[in-house]
Amino acid sequence: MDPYSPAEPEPPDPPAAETPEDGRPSGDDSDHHLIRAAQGGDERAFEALVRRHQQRAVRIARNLVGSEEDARDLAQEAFLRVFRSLERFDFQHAFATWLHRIVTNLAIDHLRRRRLAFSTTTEDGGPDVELPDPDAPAPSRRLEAVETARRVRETIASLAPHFQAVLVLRELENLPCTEIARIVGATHVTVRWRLHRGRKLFQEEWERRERLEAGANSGAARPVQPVRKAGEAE
Amino acid sequence: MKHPNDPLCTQVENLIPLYVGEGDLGPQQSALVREHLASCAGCAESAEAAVRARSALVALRDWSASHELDLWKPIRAALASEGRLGRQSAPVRSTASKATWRRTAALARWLPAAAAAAALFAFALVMGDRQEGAAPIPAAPIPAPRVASGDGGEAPASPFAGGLRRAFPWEERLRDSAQPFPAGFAPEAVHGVPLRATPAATPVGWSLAGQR
Repeated sequence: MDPYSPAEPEPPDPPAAETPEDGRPSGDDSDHHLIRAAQGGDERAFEALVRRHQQRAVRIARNLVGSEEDARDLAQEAFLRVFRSLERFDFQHAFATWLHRIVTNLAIDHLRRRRLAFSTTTEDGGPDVELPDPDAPAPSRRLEAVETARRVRETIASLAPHFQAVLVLRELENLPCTEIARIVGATHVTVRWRLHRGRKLFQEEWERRERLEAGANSGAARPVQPVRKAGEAE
Repeated sequence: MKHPNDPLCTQVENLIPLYVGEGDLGPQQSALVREHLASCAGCAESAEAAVRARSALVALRDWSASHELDLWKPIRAALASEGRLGRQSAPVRSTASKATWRRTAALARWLPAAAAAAALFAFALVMGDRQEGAAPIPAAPIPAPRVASGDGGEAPASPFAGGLRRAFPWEERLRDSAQPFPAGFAPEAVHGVPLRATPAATPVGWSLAGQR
C-alpha cells in the first residue's frame, strides 16, 4: 500500500491555528480587503497586514533557520517582497499562503547558502554537537528542556531543506498538507511523501544522537561524526 | 514479534510514520494499523519509537512563542528609502479620540434598554399607588411622622418616612411585618453600644440606643 497517495479518501486536514494579532476577524476576505486598500495606497492597511501575520512569519522562519535574528530579517524581506508585488496579487489565493511561501523559500535559500558556507569553512561539512560535560552538576528541568529543544533544532537542521520545510509547517505550524503543498509549490502526494520520509529521517537521526549522547554520558565519550545531510540527494 | 516476511508487517511499518501524526492517515488505514499493533509486538515497538521521536519534535511548539515583535517600523523605513512610501507616516486618529468614540458607542448601545427600564420603573410606581388605594402623590411632600425618641424629643420614624413613604409603599409593608428578635436571640449590645427595642420606630425592630 502506498502511504503517500492513499486509496481511501484523504482524512480531513486539521484547521490551521491562525491567531490574528489585532483582534479583528482573520481570514481570506479580511486579508483581501486590506490588500485592496493597500493597493489603493492605504499605508495603514498594509501595516495591519504586517501586524496580523508577522508572528507566524517569524516563527516559521525561525523554526527553519534556527536564529531569531535571521528569522526576523527573512520575515522582513518577505513583507518587502509582498509590498513590491502587491499589484500582482492573485485574489484566488489566500494571502497567508502567499506570504508563507515567500518566507519558506527565503529560509530554504538561506539554509542552502549557510550549508555552502559551512562546507567551505569546515572540513567535515557541519558543526560538531556540543556534548554535555559529564562532570557538570545536574541541570534543572528548565535547562534540560532548553537542551532538548536545542538538540531537536539541530536534528531538524541535519535534514535536507525540503524535508525541513514540510516538517516545520506540518509538525510545528500544524498546517494541513493541502496548504503545505501550495506553500512549497509541490503536489499533495509529494508533500505526503516528504512528510513520511522526513519523519523517518528525523527519527533515525534523533535516535542516533541519543545513542551517542548516552554513550558519552556513560564515559565512552567520543566526538559525534556529522553525517551527510539526511535526504540531501533525494 | 515482528515477522520480516509478513507482508502485513511490511505494510504497517510503511504506514507508521503517517499513523503517528495527527490525522495524516485515513480512518481505514488507521484502523488497519491499530489492529495490527495490538497483536504484533515488533510493530508496536516500532510505533512507540516513532511516537517518541515525534513527541520530541512536536514539543518544540512550546518554544515557538515569539517575543515582542514589531516588523512594521523597519519595513516602513525600508519602503520609504526605496521611495515606495512617503517619509511621514500616514496620519492616525489619536488613541484618545478612538477611546472616547469607543466609550460613547458602548453607552449608546445601552440607551434603549435604559429608557425602557426607566419607563417600567415609572409605570410600577403609579400602579403600586393605585393598588394601595393611595391618593395621588401630592405636589407638596407629606410631613414625616415623628416618634418619641429616647431623650424625650421626636425623631423621624424611618429614613424613608414622609413623602417618600408614599412613593415606596413596600417599605411600609416591610416595617409592619418586622418583628423584634425573639427572647434569647436578641443581641444586647453591638460594639459596646447597648441596644434597645423600638419595634414601632424602625423597620427591623431594633436600633442603637441614642441613635436618631
